[in-house]
Amino acid sequence: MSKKILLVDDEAQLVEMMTMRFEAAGYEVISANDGQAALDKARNENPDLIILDLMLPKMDGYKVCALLKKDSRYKDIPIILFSAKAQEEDRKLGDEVGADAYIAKPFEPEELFGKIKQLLGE
Amino acid sequence: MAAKKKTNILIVGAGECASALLEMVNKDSPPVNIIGIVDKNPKAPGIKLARRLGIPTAKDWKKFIRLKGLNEIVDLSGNHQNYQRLLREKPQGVELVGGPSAKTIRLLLERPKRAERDIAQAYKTTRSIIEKAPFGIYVVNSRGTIDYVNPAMIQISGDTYKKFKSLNVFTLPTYKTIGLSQKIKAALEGRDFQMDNITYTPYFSNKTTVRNFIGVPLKEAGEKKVLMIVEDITGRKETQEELLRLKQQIEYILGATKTNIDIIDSDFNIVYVDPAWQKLYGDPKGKKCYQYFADRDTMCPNCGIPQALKTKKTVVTEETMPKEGNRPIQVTTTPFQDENGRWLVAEVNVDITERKKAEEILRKIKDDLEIQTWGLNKTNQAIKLLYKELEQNNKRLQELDRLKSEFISTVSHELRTPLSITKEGISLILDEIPGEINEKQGKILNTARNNIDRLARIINNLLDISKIESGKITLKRELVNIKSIVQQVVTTLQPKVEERGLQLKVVLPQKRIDIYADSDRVTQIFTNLIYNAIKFTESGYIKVSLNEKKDDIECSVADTGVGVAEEDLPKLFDKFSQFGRVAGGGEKGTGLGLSIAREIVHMHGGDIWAESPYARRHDKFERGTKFIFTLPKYTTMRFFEEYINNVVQEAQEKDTKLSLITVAIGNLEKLKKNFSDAEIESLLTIMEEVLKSTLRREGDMALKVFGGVVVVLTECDRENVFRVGARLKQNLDDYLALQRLAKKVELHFDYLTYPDEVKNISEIMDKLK
Repeated sequence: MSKKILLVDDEAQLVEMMTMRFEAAGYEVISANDGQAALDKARNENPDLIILDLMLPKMDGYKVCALLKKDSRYKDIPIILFSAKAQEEDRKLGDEVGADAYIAKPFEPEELFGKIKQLLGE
Repeated sequence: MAAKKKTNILIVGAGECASALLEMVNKDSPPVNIIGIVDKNPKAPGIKLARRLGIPTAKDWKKFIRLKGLNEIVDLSGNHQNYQRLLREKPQGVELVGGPSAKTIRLLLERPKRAERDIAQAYKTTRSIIEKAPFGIYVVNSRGTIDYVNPAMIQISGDTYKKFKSLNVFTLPTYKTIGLSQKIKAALEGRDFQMDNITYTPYFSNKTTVRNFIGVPLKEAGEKKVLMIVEDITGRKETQEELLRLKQQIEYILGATKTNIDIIDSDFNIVYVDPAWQKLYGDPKGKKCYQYFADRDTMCPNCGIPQALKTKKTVVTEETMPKEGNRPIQVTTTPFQDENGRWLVAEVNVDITERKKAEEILRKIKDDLEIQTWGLNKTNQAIKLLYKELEQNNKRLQELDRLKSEFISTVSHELRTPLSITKEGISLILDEIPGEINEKQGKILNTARNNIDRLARIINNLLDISKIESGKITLKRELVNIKSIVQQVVTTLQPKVEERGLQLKVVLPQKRIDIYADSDRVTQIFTNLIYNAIKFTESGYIKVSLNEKKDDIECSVADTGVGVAEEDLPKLFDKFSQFGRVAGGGEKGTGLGLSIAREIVHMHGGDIWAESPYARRHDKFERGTKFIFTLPKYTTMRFFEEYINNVVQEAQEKDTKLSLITVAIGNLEKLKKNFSDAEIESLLTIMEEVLKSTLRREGDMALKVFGGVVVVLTECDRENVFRVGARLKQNLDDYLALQRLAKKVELHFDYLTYPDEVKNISEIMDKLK
């Protein structure tokens, strides 16, 4: 059975293209474009991994990440923070809310897949 | 013979009153017989005494009422309720005396003694009054001789006691001359007399005094006598004359200082007015002050008298004298009581015409000053306004600064987002996910993707340089081995260099070189320089080397690429300057890498420059550019000093405490016999590592220095340091035990807290040494 990735980004075009890439690589993709929807889908649709943008409407990525990592039911879902904010403080904040990895935008597809495979134990 | 029969009494209450009674009865054997004494308190003084006297005692009086012959119950308890009970319960035929008035009984019993005492006291008092009297007293008997004379009289006469006693006043010539002998004879017949202001020189001595004589007839044990009282008023007369002189002087002074004095009573009647005013205003007799001085019918509006009398305190007021051309005076009204207890006020009226004039001048000066002050205030206000504006400007600038850095952060985010979408689009096509592409298409898209990456790098570098330039970057310095930094950079960049067909040479010294630096930033310097070299080198090699100098480390990145004209060398580090150097293929630069490198080097206290000695030569391989930068070398000691400096400064700023723990090897000398220096050194290194791993907070540190290991704990007070110390000791002990060294190495712990025990850095250093 293919692994399910929850892709969260408010840029619909990017989501569309990345979905194409993940599906081509054999993953199942579900997506959300705001923080609240991301939280709902993470809780209800059993994703194997979450790729989470930081600047999101309704609730930012840090908060989504923190809420999931605090909850024993979801804390084991790996989360890759995914952001165009590349300041060191942003990475630090990511560590603090318990993110598993950080990928800066624009990203290298190889690097992203490397991280995904590592986190999914593939 | 019932009359002779003694009364049997029972005493209830054994207080002091009862014991007094017991004592008297026992002594004087009066016609009473005490058959018992009662008190609830067995320790009462009456009970104790009764036991000594063999009188029966009890706690309850009812024990005695059955005894035959009880006539009286004497209640000496002083307790009213007790008396009521006795009254109710006493058997028939028994009288009850005393009761709550026991105290009266006691007084009655004691009275004769007291009277005697009083008389004795009174005699003693009278005697001492006479003896100590300030006037002469002597007693003349009917024969004219002296029965008694007091010390004061001897003093007045100037005679001896013996001589005075030998006088006979009837025949004394000096007495006869002034008619005193006759007066005394008359006094013996009952006529008292007084003779005042007599200037008298005694018979024996020649001490002339002014005296008052008083003679009072007296009867003592049936004999007629005269009590003579002699007052020496010599001094008094002198005092009176002195007073008169003083009065004149005062009046002179008052006149000279234009000061007047008056005394007024509580009804505003004039008691006294000084002569100067009397001359001016006439006789004050029977006049109220307001009539006399101001022709008014009622009290003057400013009058201080009522307040002075009410508060019994001096009141100071100002008045003008209408009859003296409105001359201004200051009136000091002081309340006092005369010998009859009547309240009066004394008024001292000082002329203040001159003062008023002075005040007027002062007022004018003040007005002038006020005008000037007003001007100054205006200026001040203007300055304040300017300052406020300046402050606002400053705030605006700060806000602008904040907005600027926020803007940069936002812009870079906003730029990267479309960039990432574009890149992903191109990558998707290049990865042929939507479908196959041909080679030419691929080449074009590859170029596009490379330039997107370049744009991203430019954005990153711009962000970096703007942060550095606005001082927003703080170095996260630590003690690092620069060799390992270089090795890591080389490993990362080796593929890129080789990809370009170049060689990467590395020349490193043998030993480890510690620097106190931000390793990420130093990595960035090397990365930027190597990227720069790649960019301008088409063939040959890139050489990275470290060279240890006396005080610093010289790092260099040399290439065999296009050189730089000498005059352009210093400008290399400016932003976006490429000086006609033709870049090689591959990744394009951002024009910011060297600027960033320079800034980082400077932040570390180092220097950076470029050399291009072969720039004008034509031989391809000998041309090239060499970038050199220095980083200060750090000995452990230098690092430690700088670190202590920083943490002490921080503690000062934050007003927190700082503690140090030194861990030394106590039996070092002994250890040196069994272990080599290198072994001991490595033991210390391991101790340092163990201690470091035990520390939990970021600011804390353990360092091998001064022949031991010093642990520095920031924001740690005296109490906490022992707690941490115990933990450190435990870990070290565990380690030593594991290495089977526990018995061989004696550890010695010392604690030091700033600012409790040491006040400054040099004190800390001294203590550590």
